[in-house]
Amino acid sequence: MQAKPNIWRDFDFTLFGVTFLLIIIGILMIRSATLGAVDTDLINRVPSQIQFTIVGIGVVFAMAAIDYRLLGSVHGFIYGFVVFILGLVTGLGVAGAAGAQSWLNVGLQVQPSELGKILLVVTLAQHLATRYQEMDSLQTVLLSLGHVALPAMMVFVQPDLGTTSVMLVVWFVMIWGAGLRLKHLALFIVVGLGMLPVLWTGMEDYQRQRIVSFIDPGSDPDAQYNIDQALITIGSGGLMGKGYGNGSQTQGRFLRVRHTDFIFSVIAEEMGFVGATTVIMLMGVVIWRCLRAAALAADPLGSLICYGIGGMIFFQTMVSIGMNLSILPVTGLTLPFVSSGGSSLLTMLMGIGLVESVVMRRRLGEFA
Amino acid sequence: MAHNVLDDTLNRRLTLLSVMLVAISGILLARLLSFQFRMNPETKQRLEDRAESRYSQTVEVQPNRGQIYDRNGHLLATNTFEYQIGISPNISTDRQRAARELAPLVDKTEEEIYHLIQPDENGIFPDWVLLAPVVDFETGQRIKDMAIEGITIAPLPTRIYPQGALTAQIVGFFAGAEDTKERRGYWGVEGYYQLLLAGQSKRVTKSNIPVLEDSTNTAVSVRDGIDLVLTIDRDLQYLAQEVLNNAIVEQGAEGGTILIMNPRTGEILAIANYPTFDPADFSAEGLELARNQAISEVYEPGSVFKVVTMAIALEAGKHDLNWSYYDPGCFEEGGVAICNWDRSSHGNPTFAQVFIQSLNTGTATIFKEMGPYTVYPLLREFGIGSPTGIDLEGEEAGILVEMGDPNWSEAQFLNTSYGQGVSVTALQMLCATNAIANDGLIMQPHIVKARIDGSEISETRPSASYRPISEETAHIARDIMIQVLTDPGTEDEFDFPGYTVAGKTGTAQIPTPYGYDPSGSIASFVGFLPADDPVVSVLVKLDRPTGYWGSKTAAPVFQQVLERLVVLMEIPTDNMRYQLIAQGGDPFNREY
Repeated sequence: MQAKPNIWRDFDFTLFGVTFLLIIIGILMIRSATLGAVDTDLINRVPSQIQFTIVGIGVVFAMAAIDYRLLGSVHGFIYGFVVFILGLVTGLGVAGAAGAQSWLNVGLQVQPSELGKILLVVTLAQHLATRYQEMDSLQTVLLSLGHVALPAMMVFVQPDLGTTSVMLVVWFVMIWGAGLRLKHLALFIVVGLGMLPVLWTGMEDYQRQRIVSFIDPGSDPDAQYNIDQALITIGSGGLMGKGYGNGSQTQGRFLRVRHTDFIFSVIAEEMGFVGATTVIMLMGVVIWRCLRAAALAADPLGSLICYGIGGMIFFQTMVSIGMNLSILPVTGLTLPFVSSGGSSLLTMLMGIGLVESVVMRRRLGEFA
Repeated sequence: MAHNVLDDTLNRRLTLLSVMLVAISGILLARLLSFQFRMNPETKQRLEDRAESRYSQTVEVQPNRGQIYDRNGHLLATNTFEYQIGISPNISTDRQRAARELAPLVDKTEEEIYHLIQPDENGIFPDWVLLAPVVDFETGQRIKDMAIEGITIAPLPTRIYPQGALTAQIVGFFAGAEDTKERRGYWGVEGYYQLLLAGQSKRVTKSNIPVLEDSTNTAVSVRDGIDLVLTIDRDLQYLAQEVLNNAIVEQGAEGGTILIMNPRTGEILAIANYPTFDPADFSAEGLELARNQAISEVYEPGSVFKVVTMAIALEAGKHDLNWSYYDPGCFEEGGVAICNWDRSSHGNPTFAQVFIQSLNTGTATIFKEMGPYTVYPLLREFGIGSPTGIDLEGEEAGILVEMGDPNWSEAQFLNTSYGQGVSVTALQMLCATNAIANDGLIMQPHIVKARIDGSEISETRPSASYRPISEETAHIARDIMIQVLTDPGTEDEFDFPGYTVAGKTGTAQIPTPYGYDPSGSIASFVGFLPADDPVVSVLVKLDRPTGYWGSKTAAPVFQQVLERLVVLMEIPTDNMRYQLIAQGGDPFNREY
């Protein structure tokens, strides 16, 4: 029997490196998007993003160092914690930029829903890892849905439609990975369609408005303004873009929330098709490395965690870019790693740390 | 080896997921390609046009308005800024904060502002909204310091007048017309020199894109306005105004003017009027006073006009010092009685005595002997009936009724000889007197001494506007004016030892549509000193003083002016002056 192997040799440097590259691109584009700003909030965006990146790198290594199976074993406690902090927001939350009651002020403002969705991946993975052999039973499926539905509801009432949809999509991706039966899928599609009217009436006005304006842009020109400006911005980029810091749309402030929701448009204007494609490809690499980790994982828990994280990054990327390209409605979801926003960056890096934790321990079984 | 039982299912489904991933990425890329390379040219053009129109705006860059100084460099008008505050809601990142913090500074409620910066019914945010048309300099600076995104702070040049009411009627004022919003100078120097003071503004296309702006247009060169140095002496102005204000109270007068000039150059040294203009009072009545009475108000001068009569009589050649006539006290001409002030006969007065005793019958007789064909051209030569061309806005020409005019009559012609039936401005009257002071030459009256255009200074060269009489005539007339003040027979309340002064009093009746007003008079005095080498001429005019007679009211005011004026202007007494001349110097250090 050899000495305990060094697990860090299996640390996925490709995943970490590409993620870091995306963050650097993000910081540069946020800088361009806030050039010449006089507003203190905007001025602080770049330094704040750099600080969160430094902390975030620490988080990656910290999460990687923690054995994910240890987290799995305390899933009950984690789940309770998630429900607890989401409950706090409802009671003590402060209104965030968009008016949603999603921020909790603890020294620095953090968004519990962001933290919640990443922790939910762990608890749901543990939940499914112990039950994936019983997937034939509808009860198993419903139980897992219930596991996600409670926190999802709490986020929904904040109201934060974006994060709610991320949680539900993560659930679907994970249960699909765990072996969701096609008959159950068909059932969910039927029930889901039936539930739509209920969901519709439960939405806030502005959430409904976004969907209406997506389907019928003429009815809401303010939304149309953002989309038009995004189209002008992306359309004027061309192959190589107008050059860093030279985008007339970006620098002229015609594009709103350009440092967060519309950061992809900024990239497309200033760095052109080449820049935008590069970002999409780098995102693809990150997702691929997550799915690779899922395939390599030593146990179902590890597989499902990586699967869930990969699905989450994929979904958010798709929605954010899709929104910039006006394929999808405006949701306020950020482009992972690239958009300005500390909570989002930290939790995404926590996810990367979890994947590293799994991939580092893939061989441990061989020596067991 | 513990097999990961999930692997089979997962790997199968992983493949499926990867296919989805690639497919969706494909859709995103296709969409990106479509936007960037295959956008319908028309759509692209439409979108770009909409965008371009927002990238830049044309603005008018305003030059600095020229400053105005007195002859010793004291500031009379200078510039500060007020600000126009606006906001671009489409750029603003924090509209709530903008509304909350700006509300108290722009005299609007938070709600009003918030309402203004809402999107219209189409949901489009306005590009720009006016919040306050004018805020003062300090408020503007405070708003600038707040650093609120989207705020525009446009400087509006505005004027301050450090001397306030003292020089307000001379300087005029700078204001914006209510309808056009365009500011310009009105009245006085501000009005007359509007174009020079204003400079040349420039229209520039300014990028709305803050970062790009720096590189594209760094400095816009505009032509600043020209600075003006006036001939006015602030201290003399203060003296004149103070003496006048006191006289108004003491004499119970309704109004008045003290005008001080240099007869050698035509420079105006002081113009004091009562009532005067307060540059802070923009009410209708207040603005009415912005007109400078000394150049804009015409009046019948009365006996002071006899200095002109005397001069033209001597110049025409028919009359000399040996001339005399029989004074009947009153005589009738064309049904109108022409009488002396005391309505009594003074025997057989000589030419000089006519003026020393101010006999209306004498001047009328002289005019009658000269005839209108001789008199009117000579009066014209004195500038009577024409504007002097002073460089102040708002000058009136006065009224000289000549033959051919329906109001003309023989009696009216004879009245003119003693300053009734002819209207002048105070400035015209003093300029006419200056002909006698300045050896027969009337210098062009002017108020701007020099123009400063950057580093280039151009001085106004004194120039003659009329030569109505010869030097010899001027000296004879001057000697008679000296006698007017020294003759023991006159009752002028004037005594100014040490200096030889030339002068003439006048008490004019005030014409009304129903004949002359019996209750009041315009009492005035013109004079200059030193009589043999004048450096200053003064006109004093009091409207409706209770003392009625010029010799009793205006003469002592004239004396008060002189008493302080000789100190301020450092005019030596005659004896001292003769000593200085004997030593080979010029007592006035003149350059002209």
